[in-house]
Amino acid sequence: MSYWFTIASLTGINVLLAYSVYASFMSGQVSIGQVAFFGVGAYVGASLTVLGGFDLASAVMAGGFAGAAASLFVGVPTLRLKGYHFTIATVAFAEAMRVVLHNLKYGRPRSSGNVGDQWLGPDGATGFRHISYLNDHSISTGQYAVIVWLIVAVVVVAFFLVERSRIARILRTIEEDEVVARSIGVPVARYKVAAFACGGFIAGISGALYAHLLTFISGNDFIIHLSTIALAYVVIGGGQTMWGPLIGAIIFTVLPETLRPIREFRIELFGLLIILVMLFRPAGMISAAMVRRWGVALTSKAGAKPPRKAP
Amino acid sequence: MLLTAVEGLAYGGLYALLGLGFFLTYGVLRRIDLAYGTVVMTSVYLGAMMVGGLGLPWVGVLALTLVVGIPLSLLVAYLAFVLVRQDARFSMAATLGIWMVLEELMLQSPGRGRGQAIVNPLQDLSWWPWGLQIRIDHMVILGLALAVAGLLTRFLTRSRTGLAIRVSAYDASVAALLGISHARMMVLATVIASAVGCVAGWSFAMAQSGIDLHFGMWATVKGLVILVLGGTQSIALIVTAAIGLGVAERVGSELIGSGYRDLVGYGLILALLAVEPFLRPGETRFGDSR
Repeated sequence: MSYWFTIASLTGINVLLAYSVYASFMSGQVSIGQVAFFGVGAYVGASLTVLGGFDLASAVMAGGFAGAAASLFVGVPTLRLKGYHFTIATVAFAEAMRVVLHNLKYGRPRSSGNVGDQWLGPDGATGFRHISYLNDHSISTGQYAVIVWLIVAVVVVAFFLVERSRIARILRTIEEDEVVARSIGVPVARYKVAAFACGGFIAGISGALYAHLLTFISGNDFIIHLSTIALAYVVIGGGQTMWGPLIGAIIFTVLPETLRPIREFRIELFGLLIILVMLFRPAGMISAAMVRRWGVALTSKAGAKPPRKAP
Repeated sequence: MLLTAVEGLAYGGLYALLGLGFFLTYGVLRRIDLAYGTVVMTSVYLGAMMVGGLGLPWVGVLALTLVVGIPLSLLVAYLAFVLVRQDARFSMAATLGIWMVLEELMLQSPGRGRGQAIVNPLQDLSWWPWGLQIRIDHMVILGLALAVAGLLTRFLTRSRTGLAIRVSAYDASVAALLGISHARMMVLATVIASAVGCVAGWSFAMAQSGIDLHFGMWATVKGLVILVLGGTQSIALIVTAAIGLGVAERVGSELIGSGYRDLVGYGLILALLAVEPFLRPGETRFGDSR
């Protein structure tokens, strides 16, 4: 059962990562750098519990803020640029951050431990070991899965509310045509940066949760492939509605676990699905029109009067 | 330090070849092709694997790389830029999918993703001016990059076909009005971009005496860095940026440690992107970003 609770936690973390991509995707920006904010969140969150003695909630929040700060660092100067400069900048930032995390060394010696394993904190290429908060505080994998999914629920509700607000309409207008958005007085850069920072915050939170779940992280965990997979969740699930990233991340995390024989081909399956979706259903599995139809069907069903019986 | 700078110059030659392929794809064809590096890696990897398996001479790797790489590039272009064309983001996402599929297929190929050795006939040849060791193969690659850059510049600016490719990439309807076949020009440009990429990949693999799966992502990221540094307006700027990057990386790694070598390029790209709007408001070195 512990295995499935771990899968449940990983699914929740992937859902968060997908929403971090979706936040800027709403305004038409494609970020391949979410893994950098994920990594920053992971290192900050783990450092706070392991070295600073912080509680998990504070560490996860701090991871989120660190992710948001990193996203502002790259987003503020580059989101004003036209075309795909932004995407390229996020690629460069992700790779730069991987190099930094791979070489990072700080912390203190451990009082116990085998030879070569006596460092508490990130130890360069060896990675960051002994993130043992869950074990030290007797938090079971089941309890951790509940914590992760509570955070996922908060994020899903937040996106549900945002999607029905003026903010979402503005972001979608920016996505459709920036010039039109600017002509009606929308501060385009501010909205794009804010959306990107929200994405960075969510990625940072998911990174901190990931570090505590795995108990060991290293710079090589945060390669650009993770970003591309997160983008795949959004693209396959559907980038027009907030349900897309949720469905995409759940299906493509759980499916390879349930169908063991295809697990080895998970990445091919992802890649193939992206190509097929882009060819035949660019809006993704769940489109905005589909959600509208479901909404209409649900409200009409709820509001419909029972048919009168013939006298 | 001087030796390091000279080494950097040689790497600059490799980067220049890579940058030229990216220049054609992003600058001329205006495609955001994230699978470019992976297609090059796949071609060189399969070429090296087949040559190793069949016991062919070392030039066989280049021939097989081109035989695999050009049709593969055309397939990618057809899938991601002809069949998917509603939105540039969708095309980019499709190339992302192709990148994933190709890389995983190589991982499950008979080579199982392990590094493939490539014979470098010039490996042990060096030139020793003023006590500095300069590898002949590095100089050959630098010369090759400069020659390809010169030929491409001449082709794109002086020849009728080159001009037709540029017009066609800029506006297909204008090209049609001028009697230019847009589809044919795009195929030709894709073939040239792919051939340059294959030569770059092969040169790099030969200089390193082998290739592994990391090359695909490395080439894509490095190519993007060169493209941002050099812009998409001029081949001369691409070559200058590539050589500058090679030297800066080598000298940088000497100063801040080899572990942080790649940070030089990424730091440059971020710094440049950050200051660009202030330097030339309303204008980017990428030109029209349609």
